[in-house]
Amino acid sequence: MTINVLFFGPLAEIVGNAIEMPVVSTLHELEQKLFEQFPLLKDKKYALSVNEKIVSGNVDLEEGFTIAFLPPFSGG
Amino acid sequence: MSENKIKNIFRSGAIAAEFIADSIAKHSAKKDIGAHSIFLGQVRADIINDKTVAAIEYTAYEEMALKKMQEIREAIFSKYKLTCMHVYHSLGVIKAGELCLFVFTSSPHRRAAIDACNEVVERIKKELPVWGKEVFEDETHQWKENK
Repeated sequence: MTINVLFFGPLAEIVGNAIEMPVVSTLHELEQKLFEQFPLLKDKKYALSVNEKIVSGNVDLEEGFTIAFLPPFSGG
Repeated sequence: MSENKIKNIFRSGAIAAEFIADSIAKHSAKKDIGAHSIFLGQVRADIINDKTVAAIEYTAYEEMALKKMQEIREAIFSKYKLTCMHVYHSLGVIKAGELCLFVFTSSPHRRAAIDACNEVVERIKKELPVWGKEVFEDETHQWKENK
């Protein structure tokens, strides 16, 4: 019963590339749990994706979902 | 060439000038093309707080980036009268002076190729989940942010 959470760029330096978190019901809850574990994450700028789609606001989560923390892009 | 199937734009390492030349040469068979437009991104040796950028190390959320690139490709083909479009983006360590992005659009007339190429480059920089870590000569680093 887990949710996959991915981190990229500077955020991966804080948390690692990927962790599994116990299922929580919403994205905001997941963020709160991660802030408790990784306080440095709190001040960072990022967008969130759920199953490879960028989302805004709160989203309901289910087992097996993949959430990604995406710092500002710098490709090209 | 189908614009509907997901293409892998990512290449490990720098984009070689020979690869670009080959890519241009291959288009001589397509005789409805009248114009090509090419954008090449090159790693710049920026000097930041007295330290010189030696390389950029690129990483990406590849699955998501490829889906997004497909969305961009479809939007570009429906907006411009293009014959074809090719995009390559480097991953891994690319040294200053090496090429990290190759966008190549072709069309019967120049306007479509030029405008589509510009738009694709802007959208890649803004919308693809790709990150560049600027590695300095003293091996410290900082994370780049697109403007």
